[in-house]
Amino acid sequence: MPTEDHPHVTPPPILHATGIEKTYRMGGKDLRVLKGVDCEVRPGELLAILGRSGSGKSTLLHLLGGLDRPDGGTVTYGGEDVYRRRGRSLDRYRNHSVGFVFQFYHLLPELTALENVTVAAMLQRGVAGWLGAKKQIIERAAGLLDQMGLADRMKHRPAKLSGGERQRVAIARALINRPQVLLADEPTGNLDQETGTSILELFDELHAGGQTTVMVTHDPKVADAADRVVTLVGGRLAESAAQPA
Amino acid sequence: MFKLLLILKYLRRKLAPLFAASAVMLCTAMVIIVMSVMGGFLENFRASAHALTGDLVIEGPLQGFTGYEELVAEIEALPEIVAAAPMLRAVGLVNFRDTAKPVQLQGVDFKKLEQIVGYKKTLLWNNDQLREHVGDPQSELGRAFVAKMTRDFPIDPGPDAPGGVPVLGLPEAVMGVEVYPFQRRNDQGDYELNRSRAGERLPVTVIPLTESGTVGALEPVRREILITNEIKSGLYDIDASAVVLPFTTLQTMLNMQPRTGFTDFDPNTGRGGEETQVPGRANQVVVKVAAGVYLLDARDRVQSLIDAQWKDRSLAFPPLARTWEEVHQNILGAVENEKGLVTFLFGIIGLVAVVMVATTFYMIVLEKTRDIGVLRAIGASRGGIMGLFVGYGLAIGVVGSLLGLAIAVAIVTNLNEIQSLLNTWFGWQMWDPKTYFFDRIPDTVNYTEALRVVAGAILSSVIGALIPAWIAGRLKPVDALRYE
Repeated sequence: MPTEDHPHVTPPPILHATGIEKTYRMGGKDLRVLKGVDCEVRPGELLAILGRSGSGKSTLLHLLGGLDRPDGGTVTYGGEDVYRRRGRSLDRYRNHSVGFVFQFYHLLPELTALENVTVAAMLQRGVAGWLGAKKQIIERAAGLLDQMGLADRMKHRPAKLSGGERQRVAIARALINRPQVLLADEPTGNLDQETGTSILELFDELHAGGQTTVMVTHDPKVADAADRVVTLVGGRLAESAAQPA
Repeated sequence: MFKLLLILKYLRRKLAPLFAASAVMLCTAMVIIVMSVMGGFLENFRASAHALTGDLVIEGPLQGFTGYEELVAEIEALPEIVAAAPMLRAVGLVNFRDTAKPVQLQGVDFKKLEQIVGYKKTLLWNNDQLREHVGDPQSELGRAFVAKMTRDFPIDPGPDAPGGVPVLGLPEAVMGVEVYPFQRRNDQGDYELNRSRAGERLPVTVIPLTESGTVGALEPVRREILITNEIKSGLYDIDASAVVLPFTTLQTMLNMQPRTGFTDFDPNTGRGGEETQVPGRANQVVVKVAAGVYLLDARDRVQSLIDAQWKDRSLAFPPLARTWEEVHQNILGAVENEKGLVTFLFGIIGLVAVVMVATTFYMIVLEKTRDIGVLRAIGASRGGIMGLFVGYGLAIGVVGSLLGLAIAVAIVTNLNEIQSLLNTWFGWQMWDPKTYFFDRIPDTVNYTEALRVVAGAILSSVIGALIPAWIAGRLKPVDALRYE
């Protein structure tokens, strides 16, 4: 994507996958899901990965987010190989550098909406670190929930929230640590059309605010909102035409 | 910090931790209750065994040893020792009308014995009861008892007691309450005054031994004593066999008193037959050790003193000093062995608690697999997840064991009342005082041991949570998220 200062220069990708291979062993047979996928995510863009169910798009997203290890290839973030990281460094990458939004929200049922958001900020902090930053974190979490239209739902547990509200809480949780990249796995896949549209509008707003986002979907209409769409077919990625601005 | 938040939430929200905490609570309560009651029995046994036995007992041969006065004086001069007194033990026979019974006779200085073992605590009847029992205060016996009681409470038998004028001119003795062969307890386990032998004249027979320990030509000696009270020490062996009478009385009966005698006459030389002083003999010395002195150290000190004194004597074996625990090793050892068995059973109970907590936690980990995946996906470390479940185990252990402690304290301290209620409501008597030698179920919690049990329960919970926590920590985030 050209920048304002250099309209014809494409900025370096923030997240870059090269030659990603992934094979699952299922029913005694090897299932090669990703066959040397190359993919790059540029700062500020909303990238949609389109593909049918079982095409490996969620696997690719997980590999980009450090949730799983590829059998081959590399994923670099800010020029550094994500999978050279070990232990806490990889945990920190998942906590700080990327933020996940799942199709089924995956909120913790015992926690309120506010606690579900703040828990992501607690994970890499000890008691002292948490107590020192508690006030700002709670203010930020409350602000994010407010931004998501959930100002009056902060004390509610997930069971008391609708699907759309849960997904908004999940988005707020993903954003609490100000990640460079938001990774969304079928964020509207479990919602009715109207609610799904409102969630997509939320992603649009975030994108407009400069949030880099990778969204996986099987729905071409959802992909319409993206700056760029890549399609995963037969374990390989094909770039679609750029979306009109 | 997230661990604390989630532990508190998990504790409040889920049924599974309630089961785990309940398991820990019940195990803890059960162990503390059993330990308190068993420990109470052991303590009762120990207290009973200690009664009528000094801290140390020096035992010589049955025919006794001379020089006991010097030995007592030397022992009492030791800084570790509070008091010492000579004693006699002998096998005797008592006759309840036409029923004869073998008994263990103890000849004691009552005043000294009280100082050394506090024997008065074991006396069963108080003055009012004795007055009621002895009956007509105008009778010779009644008058003598009443006169005695005004001077001393409770009846302090023996001419060795201060102002101890013998009642009816008879040596006064106390006797184990179960010595009387027809003694019975009521349904509450109490002895009834109307079966008491207090106030009864009792013929006692002993066979004196010569200095070399043989019966020789000495005839059995029979003498009447007056039973002034009965003792209930709590040890059946003592209560069923002990007859305690004044030292000088038994010493005289056994022909062991200091007296004038004659040296052996040798007809060949014509020598001997001169008048000589024969020293008195005792076969035991009881010793009270000063507070804070380790009994085994005091025993060794006393034994070395005996050995030094016996160096030049012809007696093959010098008297042996033993602690009261060594003296009653048979019965204490049996109870200690029982305690060992119970401790082993507790070990199994502890193992059951660990397995129960581990099983419950494994179920919790399975139930929480997706949450674990979510936490890992948003940045929780393996150690953090492990810490969460270990901390959860710790919290369940703390909650469960403290509740268990509270329940155990409530039950143990009210055990006799609970028993009484069960008896009233359902006619069920879990504790039959007629069967056991203690009237009440021990109802004191040993808090040091209880806190050890609590600590063990908490540790068991943590150990039980370790493997599931390790499994949780090992879960790959992507696998955990896909878990159905």
